[in-house]
Amino acid sequence: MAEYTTQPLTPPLKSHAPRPSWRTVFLLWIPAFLLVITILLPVGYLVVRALGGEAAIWDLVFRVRNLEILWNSLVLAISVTFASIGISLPIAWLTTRSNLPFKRGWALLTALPLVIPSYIGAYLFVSAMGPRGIVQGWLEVLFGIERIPSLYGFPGALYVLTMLTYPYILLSLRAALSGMDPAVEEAARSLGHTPWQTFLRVTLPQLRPALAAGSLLVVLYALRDFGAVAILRYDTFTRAIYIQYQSSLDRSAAAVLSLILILLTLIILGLETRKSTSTRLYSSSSHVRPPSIVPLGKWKWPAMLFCGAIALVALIFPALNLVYWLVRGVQSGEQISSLWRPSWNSLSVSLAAAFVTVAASLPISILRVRRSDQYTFILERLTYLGFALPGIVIALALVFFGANYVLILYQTTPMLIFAYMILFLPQAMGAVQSSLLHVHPNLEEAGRSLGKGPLQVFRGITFPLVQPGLGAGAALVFLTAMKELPATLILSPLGFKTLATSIWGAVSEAFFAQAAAPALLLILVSSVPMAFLTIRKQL
Amino acid sequence: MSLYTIECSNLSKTFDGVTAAVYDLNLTVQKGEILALLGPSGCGKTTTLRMIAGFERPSNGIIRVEGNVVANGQKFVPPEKRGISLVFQEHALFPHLTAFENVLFGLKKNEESRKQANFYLRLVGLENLGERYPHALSGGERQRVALARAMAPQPVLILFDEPFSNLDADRRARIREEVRAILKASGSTAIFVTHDQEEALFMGDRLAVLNAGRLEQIGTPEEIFHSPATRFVAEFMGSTDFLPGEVAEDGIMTEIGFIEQPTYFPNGTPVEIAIRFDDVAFEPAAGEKSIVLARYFKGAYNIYRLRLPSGRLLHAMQPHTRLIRPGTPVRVYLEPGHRLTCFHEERANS
Repeated sequence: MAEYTTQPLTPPLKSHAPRPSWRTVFLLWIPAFLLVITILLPVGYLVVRALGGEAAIWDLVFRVRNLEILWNSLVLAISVTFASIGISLPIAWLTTRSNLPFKRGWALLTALPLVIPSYIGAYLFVSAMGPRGIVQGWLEVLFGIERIPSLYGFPGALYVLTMLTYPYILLSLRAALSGMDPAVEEAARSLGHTPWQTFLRVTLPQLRPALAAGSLLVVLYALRDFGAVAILRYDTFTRAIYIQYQSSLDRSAAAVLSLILILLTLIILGLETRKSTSTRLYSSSSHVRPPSIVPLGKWKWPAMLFCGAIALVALIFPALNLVYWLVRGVQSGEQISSLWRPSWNSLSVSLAAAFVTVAASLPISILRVRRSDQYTFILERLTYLGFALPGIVIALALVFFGANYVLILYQTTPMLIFAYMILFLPQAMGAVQSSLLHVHPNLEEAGRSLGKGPLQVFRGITFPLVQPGLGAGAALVFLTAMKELPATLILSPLGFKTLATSIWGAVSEAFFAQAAAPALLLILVSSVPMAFLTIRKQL
Repeated sequence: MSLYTIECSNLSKTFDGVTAAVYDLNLTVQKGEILALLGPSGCGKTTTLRMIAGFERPSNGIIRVEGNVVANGQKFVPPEKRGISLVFQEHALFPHLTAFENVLFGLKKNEESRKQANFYLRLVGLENLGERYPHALSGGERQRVALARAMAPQPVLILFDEPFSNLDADRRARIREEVRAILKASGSTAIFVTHDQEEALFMGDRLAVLNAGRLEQIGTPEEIFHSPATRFVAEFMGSTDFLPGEVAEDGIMTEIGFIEQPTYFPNGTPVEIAIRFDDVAFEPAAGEKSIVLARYFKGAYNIYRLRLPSGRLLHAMQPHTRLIRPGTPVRVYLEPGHRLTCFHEERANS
């Protein structure tokens, strides 16, 4: 999904558009403004709530406990990023630049953990390594060991998140390594540098932008993740916000925590945009040759072992574990038919979210692509809020706002769908804008010059041409909405269970067998097609 | 000290074990010489260059640098130990380093090196742009940084892989003059790969023409142009038509008449004569079977396309003032003023 949300816009097609007609005002500008306002209102309210709580705001912010949470979140995000780099860098190099056997196979296997939602990853980890998990069971049978050291907290969260997120860095590095001009490295060799010196002084510095891009995704993932840290009981912002929200009557504490998390995310995104403008320098010229391949020699077997070990612990063990619990669940009389309801719920709200989100993205996308100036830029950036804000924060904002101002919508599916729209609007915008960019304005101008009005032109020319892009955007939103957990958990109407919340419910009660079937279904339905699309593009 | 800076003996390279990219190549380059390696794309010239640089292992043959074997069946010296620099087609400047740091890259880390790097930047006229990153330099400036970077470690040999092909025609002409002047002034030895015959004639002290992995001919620009060893070389150097004929006593019989020029071929041998556009003359004459098909105005001169009775086409270069209407019947004859090269089964024997 990274390539949609971070896609840069090509240069403006039209820099000096004529003054907008009343039609563009009514059909594009007003809907665009309305959308931005409805997005901003709940978040703005959250800020108000945070500032207007009972306790003085600064006391809340600097409460020892909150600083501890901040520390926990940062340490986790940074450790996960470094661990992911440590895993990704060797695999990326081996699968692009060496003569490792079965390179494409390794590349696919090591990228696939991308399809596992974090709460499923955490569930599989806990069900294997936890106090009532498989490993403990074996140890009890074999040696009579009844307790094993707890992996809850930091070690578990670090392990699970790393195994789920390193593919973001891996894919980014692979793309950079295979796109690099081999002549640059050869130049270093011909200037007297050994292969190792060349790697350190020439290859690695050129990988910096790719490392930064991949790391940003990993840092944001770790900061915003709710499922893994909640299941593994590690106190970061998202878990603390959820606990505050559930347990306390004064909700401004949750609001304050959300506010700090928002600020943290914005700071990181700000650093990234500053960095990416300075790393634009590194774009290399078009090149003619594929990268040169380094023979591994006696290092072939250790290299295979490394890739194999990662694939085993990140993908194969979890998959086997899932199958194990599935079988156990069926044996103990778990009803597969009980999945119908949550599956139907997941499908219907996700489908609705896909349609609503793509429709909502159209006015701003059209304005942005056809009229690239600072106003449309600001509008567009404001809709990127969903990219910056964790699902749990947006859910909380909607709960506060809904409970106080729009009680009709409070705890209804439209509210849930609205939350999905805010969260996944950037993805839809990416897909819709890139398809709009492929429709040359000349086509529309030709339609206008043949006597058709703007609406007729849109219906007869633009819409048919961008339809595949709209479809891609909708599919992306649908798949991501299926997997979404925290917003679904908080905003679902009473008794409304989706696949994601069923898994969550079962795992919180340690009914591991009960979670297996919905987890498998969710992975298959939501992620596998997308993973293959993403990965095939990169391989 | 060996006589030759570089010496390739029986050099061959196959990538798939079957088809040879380079086959049985022999060539030498003397100290201070610029050799232009010329041929159409896919002829093996870049592969040859990469074997000399150490980025490809020869399948067969020996490469010597200043008399020392750097590659043969057993031995293979890696590129960083050969003292051979490269200037790449797309420059391959390090994008994360400034122009100055790029030039410094191949030097040892000391104060002396910084002076040396500055010296070479000055040599290519870029002393003021040292702090710029490659993306902020123009195509020609990048080219010159690449040259300075290659020259700075004072290599025994500099290899150029079609270095000017990304520049526009105007800039190309200017920068190749500069590069040749710099190389000659510093007494550098170089191999220069190109597919552009005009560029090869300009840059090379000697030319080596490659075709399908084999060396067709090696010699001075004049030798290559005036006495091509094969039909391929004659055709590749351009502006040439081939007229079939048959060897007779003291000359060759063609459809436009007898050419008095003894050959070493036995009588009756079918040959093809290489005829340059400036070798052909014609006069309007009623009743002749050859006609003018078209005239192409080139500014300083006219090129006439003539159709012979057999339907074969010949081209003639004429002054820009001489205007003859297409369709005019003409008598075609040759006025070479030098020996014409003729080929039997693609090879010359004049």
